[in-house]
This record gives sequence, C-alpha cells and structure tokens, in this order.
Amino acid sequence: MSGPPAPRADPTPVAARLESLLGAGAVTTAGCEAWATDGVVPRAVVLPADADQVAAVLRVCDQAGAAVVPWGGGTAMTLGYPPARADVVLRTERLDAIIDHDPSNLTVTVGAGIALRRLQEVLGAHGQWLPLEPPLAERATAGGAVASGLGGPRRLAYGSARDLVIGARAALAQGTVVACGGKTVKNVAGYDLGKLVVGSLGTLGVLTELTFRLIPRPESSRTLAAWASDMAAVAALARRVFDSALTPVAVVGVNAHAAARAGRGAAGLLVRSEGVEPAVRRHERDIGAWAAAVGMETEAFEGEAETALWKVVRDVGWWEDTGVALRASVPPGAAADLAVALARALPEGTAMVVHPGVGTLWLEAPAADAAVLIALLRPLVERAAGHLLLARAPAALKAAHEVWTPGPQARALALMREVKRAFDPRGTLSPGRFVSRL
Amino acid sequence: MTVAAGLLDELRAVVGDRLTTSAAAREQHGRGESYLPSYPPDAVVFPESAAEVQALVRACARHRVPVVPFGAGTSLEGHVAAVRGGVCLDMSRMNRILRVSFEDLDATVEAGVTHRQLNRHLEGRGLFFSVDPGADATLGGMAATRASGTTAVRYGTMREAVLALAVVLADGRLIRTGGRARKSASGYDLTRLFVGSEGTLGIITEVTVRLHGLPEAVSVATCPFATIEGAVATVITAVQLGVPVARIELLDEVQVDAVNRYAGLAYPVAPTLFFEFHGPSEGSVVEQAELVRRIAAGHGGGEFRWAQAPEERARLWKARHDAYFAALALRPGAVGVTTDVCVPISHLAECIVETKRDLAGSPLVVPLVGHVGDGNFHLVYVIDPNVPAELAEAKRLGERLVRRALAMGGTCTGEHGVGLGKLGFMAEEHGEALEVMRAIKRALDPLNLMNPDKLVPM
Repeated sequence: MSGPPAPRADPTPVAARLESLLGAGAVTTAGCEAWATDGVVPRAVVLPADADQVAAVLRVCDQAGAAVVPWGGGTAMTLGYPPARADVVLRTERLDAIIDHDPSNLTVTVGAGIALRRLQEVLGAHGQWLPLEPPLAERATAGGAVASGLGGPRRLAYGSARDLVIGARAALAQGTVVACGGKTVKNVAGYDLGKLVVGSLGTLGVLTELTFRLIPRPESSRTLAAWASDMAAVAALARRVFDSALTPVAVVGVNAHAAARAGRGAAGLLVRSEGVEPAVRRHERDIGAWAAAVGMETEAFEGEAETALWKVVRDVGWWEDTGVALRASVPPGAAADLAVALARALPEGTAMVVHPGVGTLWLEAPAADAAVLIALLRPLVERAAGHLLLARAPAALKAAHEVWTPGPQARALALMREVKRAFDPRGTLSPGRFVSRL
Repeated sequence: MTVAAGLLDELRAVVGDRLTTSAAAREQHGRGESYLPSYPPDAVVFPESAAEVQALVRACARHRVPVVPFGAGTSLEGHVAAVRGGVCLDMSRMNRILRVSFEDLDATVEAGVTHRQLNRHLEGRGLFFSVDPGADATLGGMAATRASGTTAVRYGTMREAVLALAVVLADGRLIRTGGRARKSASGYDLTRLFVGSEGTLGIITEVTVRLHGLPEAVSVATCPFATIEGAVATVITAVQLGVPVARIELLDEVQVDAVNRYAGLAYPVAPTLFFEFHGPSEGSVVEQAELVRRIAAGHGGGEFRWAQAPEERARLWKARHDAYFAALALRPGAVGVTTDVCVPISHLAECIVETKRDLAGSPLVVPLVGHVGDGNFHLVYVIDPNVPAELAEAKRLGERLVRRALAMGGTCTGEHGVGLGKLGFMAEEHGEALEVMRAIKRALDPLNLMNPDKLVPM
C-alpha cells in the first residue's frame, strides 16, 4: 500500500456529502450487492454527470479515507485482486458523450463511460471504426476497455488499447483533472502519462475522456478457417502464414473445445483478411492452397457468420460466470509451440485460443480444474519468458493463487509504488486490486 | 560548477582512461546539432557496460553531481546540454547487438547501437528496424527522446517500437522494464514512462525493439501540387480510404528549390509530396499508387514521377533526407534553427498556410518539410549566427508557431522533444498534468541529478 494509511471510512457522512454534491438521484446506498467487486460490497454507488463531478467525488472520498472503485460496463471487474476496501463504486455511465469526432483526422474524443457498441455505430455511419474489441464488447465501455487493457483478435494489425489511445483525461484521487496527449498521433512533450493509465485497472485515476485513433472501414473482410485433427497442424499452418508476405488482420488458433462454441468440431486456424478485394482474395487463395496441401479442410466466413465466429473467439475466457480464465503472454514466436504442448496436456473441457502473431493464449475451464491448469501453465510460460494472468476466478481461488505471475522484479515494483504514490498518495483508488496488491 | 578531483578519481577507478576533461571533448559533448550554444560537462566518460554505468551514476550521486547521457549527439533541442555542469556519459562504446530473434521479430541491443548499425546487421535476412529519424542516432537516444521519422505513418514511432528496456536509475539500481512478450509485463507500463523521458529519470543501457518484415514490393513517387491545401487534402483522402502508404512527406516550394540547387535536380518548384508504397506484391503496390494518383489529380496534383529500382528510390529519398543541408546551402555560412510541431491532420493545411503567411512577412528564408501523414511538420530558419536580430526573429516566429499549434489542438513538438528549447511551453500544454510529471521526477530522482533542467521544469 502506498502513502500514509487512510483512516477507515465512516460511510454515512460520505454518502450524505456525495448526495449533496451530486443530487439525491445520483447516489444509491441500497442494493449495493449488485456492485460488488470480487465479493467486496460498497456502501454507496454514485453516478456523476461529468468530469468535474467525478473529481469532486474523488476529493470528498480521498479526504474521508473512503476507497473508490471505478466501474464502466462491469465486464472486466473480475480482473485483479479483490480490493482491500471498496467503499464507493463510481459508475462512469453518464460520461457518455461523443465530444469531438474529427473524421478527417481519424480521431474521436469521447466520454469514458460511452458504450463501445454505441460509439462503433456512430463511427460506422462515417465509414470508420475503433479497432478495439475487448471481451464482451457489446456491454463494455471505452474507459473500461482502456483501463483493463484487454485486446481483441485484430490487435495483430491495429495494436492494443495502448496504441489506439492518443489522448486522455483522468480525474486523480485528490480531485484534480489531468490531461495527457491529445489529437495528434505523435507527441514527445513530457512523460507519457497516458500509457501509465492504460491497463492500470483504475488504480491511478478515473478516466473521464479518451481520444482514440480510428481506422477506415475496409472495403472487404473475410475469414478463412482451416480445420485439422490436431493443434500441431494448426501451428504449422500459422507459421506458413507468418513466413509469407501476407498481411492478415487476425490469425488465431482454436482447439476443438473452443471451436465447439461456434458449432464446429475440430481444432482450426482462423485467418481474417481485410482491405481491398484483390488483397482479400489473395489471402484466401494462398492460405486455401497451403491448407489443402496438408489435407486441412477449409471454410470461408463472411458477413454475419464472420462476425459471430469472431465474437466467440473474442470471448473465450469470458463465457461462463462460474469458470476460470487464464491468459498467457509469451514472445510471439513461442506461442504456437506452447499451444501445441498444452493441447496434449489440458484437462478435458478446457477451451484454448492462441494468437500466434501477438503471443497471447486464452484458456477457459471449469473452476474445479483451476489448480491443475495453473500448475501446468506456470512453468511452461515462465520457461518461455512470458507471464500468466489469472484473469477471472472465484475470490477463493484468488486468495490461494497470485493473479499476475511472475510479478514485477522488486526494483520495478518499487518504482511502481512511486508511480502509484505520485497519482494517488493516500491509496484511494481500488486499493489492493492491482499487481502486488498496489 | 567544477567536479571535485575526488570524483574524477572515483570515475577513473571505474572506466580507467576512458575519461576526458579536454576542452574540445567537453565542448563537443555539450551540444547536439542545434543552434543552441554548448553547455560543456566537466568530464566525459565512456562506459562499456551497464555495471560501469551503475558505478558512475553512484559516484556522481555521492558527490551530488549531475549526469547527462549522450548518444550520437544528434539532438535538436539541447537535450545533452550540461546546464549545471556534471558528468557526460557517452554511450557510444556500448554498441553490441546482443540478440536478434527472427521468430519473435525483435532485437536487443546496447544503448549505443545506432539504427543504421542495426539495419546493416539485419541486411539480407528479410527484417528491418523501422524508425529512422534521419540522423544516425543511437537506439538509446532514440528511446530517450521517443524519436520517430518518415515511416511513422505506417510503422509507428519509438513508442510503439520499444518492447523493453534496461535502465540505471538515479541511485544506481539497474531495472528491467517490459519484456519480450508483446503484452507488457505485469504492472504499470514503466517502459513507456522511460521512453521519451530524455534522460531525466535514468540512463537507458539496453533496448529491445520490434522488427518488421521487409515488404515484398516497394515503389516511390513524387507529385507536385498547385497548393499546400491540395497536397494535404490528398494525404487526408488517401489515409481516409485506408491506403497503407509507408511514407508521405511534404516539401514546400522553398524546400524544393533548395533541394534542386543543392543536388542539381529539376523538380518543379511547387509544394511536392513524396510517397513510398509498401505491399505484399507488385500488384498491390501498383494498385495503391494508382489510387493515390487519382486522388492527387482531383486535388490539383501534377505529374507523378516514379522510382522502382532500389538505387532510383535511394536517390529520390536522398533529396528528402538532405533537406536540412540543402536549406543551409541556400545561404553559405548560415546556421539552421529548427523547430517542429504536430497538429491534428484536419488542421494541418490551415496551420501550414497560416504559418507560411507569417513567414512571408519575415525577411528570413524558412523551408518547410512535413511528415504530413502524422500532422507533423518542421521548419528550418536559415539564419546568420552573427546577427542576433535574426535569431530573435526565428524565436519569435517559432513561438507563434507553437501557440498556433496548441490552439489547434496540437503539441509543441511531435519529434524533436522538449530538451531546453521547449521547456517554456510545458506548463501551457500540460496544466495540472505537469504536477504529476514533477511528482514522478521527484520520486525517481530526488536529488535532481539526472539530466536536470530538461523536459520537466521543476
């Protein structure tokens, strides 16, 4: 924990003060169980209307020693350790404005609470989109996607939240609002504070506004799936694709259990290509030929079927409320081999998705298999110079297993504590939730 | 401030005779390539390992003496100026390429390796490192200044290129940030905190960067335009349509004229776009280029001139890369005062046109080049160093340019960095965020010894 220990909050006066600040309708103290983070139930839930109100809420809570947990769409609240304290849940739902869409600059500035789905609809009308596809994107907010730092299948081509956010505003624990970056793709003036906030799970500040780079919607998009009897064939085909001059936007291997969610019965490699029609055709032709040469059956997906297929892939790890999800991150060249090694050893009923170009694997399994999975994965991932995230698990499991392994080196951790202290000296924001329970 | 003899002995104990206090070496290490005067350090040392850097930094901390890292000395905003004296760490002898992975598309190098050295090492192996700021800077320096260059529109800047770092902190501890997994390691993104920190938080000793596969097909073209607006509108439309151009550079008519004179070329004296197209096949490159040609024609673009053969392409890009020297050659004996700003591309034409109107009222010759795909452009004020009024005029125009860029939602520098030159704009651009930067600086460098008085005014 950083900073001087905050006194244990007395929530009643805090709730009353928040109510006088925001108006009665914007503060709830009943039914707070629905806003628990890993079972930690807040005393009050607040719905500030704008960035100034967010800052005011934080100032009041910081002074009163009340811990605040920011909450967007609530889709990624299982990330991290159970917070040490969660007195007030701050919902960003009302910060939902499209503040400035600059189509010719290919940027958009939005309130952090905007639902990604609505943002994509507005951008779509201009032939643009934000290539950010976190799990459960239909319910996620822009701010939540950035704070969780979770990527999607097309990260291979378009980068992660870290690459797409070029500007941000955040309210800090002591009630100041800071801006970093802006509407330009390049900026070298000052420390890159915005990048610290990405993936920080709301432990440095509450995002109130974000500026993203956008991309034009492609003329064509299609996905070729090549099905195989085992993961080795999938990995070999992926290697063939990466050794070629092709530039697919997503290359993902799935095991049979993951494919079953999409109504298919085999392991497979899914390759999505986007762009001008001749380029998409070239991908289909080449990959189709390579797959046929090793006896893999292929299947083309387009339109709604393609969207549905990728939604399944995107959400592996986030299907069931009762299960566990693990994410392994390894150097890109090691991912396919790791998937092959795992395919032979995984407990029955484990879904696996591998992104070989990015170096990410997602695994989802019944909670009962968690200990086996963790014991299997940890040494393999560490040998590959990677790390493992227990992304979703019942609180009891998190008490028994570290969420991030390996944790940061002691010296790096000391620096992270300093960073936390510079942003949030009293430990008001989601205390204990982040890496090493910062 | 002069360095105590005791400290010099301690430094010599670490690096032996790789230490100099000669006036010439100190003078050379106190300046980059800018017009700014030299602020010589009291001593220059040439470490050969991270362990030596640690020992040097610890010795300086004991004596409360500032430490200024020095890569290739190509900075344009006084980043290497030893404004409070102190010890300059010249990193050029830490120049080993430690590891290249063809499977993972990354490489780890010591901080003194230059980007050309790395690319020579990769030659013939199908990979390249994409960030090219023009000068042959070191990767440590490029990481410290978040450098970019002509290919940023396609491949990004050092912000995207750096995967991991080793950094010696103010108290001599060595930390490793990030990792070879693309998903950054657990915790806050310290890698990006150090990228662009201009040596104010620590000394970068090792850099792991992302590499890219060489494109199968490359072609280059130039196209003159009747107006700047037409050129910028062409770029915007091309980007809107998702044409994956690898470089789009703008030279204004003053710069084209300078290039013609300098290199004996005969480009039409008009605002001109230089394009480079990368693609997986000749066909895809031709298709991209043809699309851009049609867009340009719709915006007052003239004839496209093509270069496909590698030597032709190199010749064409040399004209662009020599822009600075061509500008200086306009006026023998002159020096160049450079500045850069970055604005949203939707404001780029407006910003350039207003800036050129401003320049038209000035007696100075000021060529303009821009990485227009990023909204980033540069000016070179060609001035007589012996006429103080000319430097004052360049500074006046430069300040007006920065204010214009900030008013349009831009930033006071897209590439060159803050250093000393733009320190005065930090409060204006950042407001409250500057306090957070200060808090970070104080936390990591409580004695304010790491390249003091740069980037973050304390």
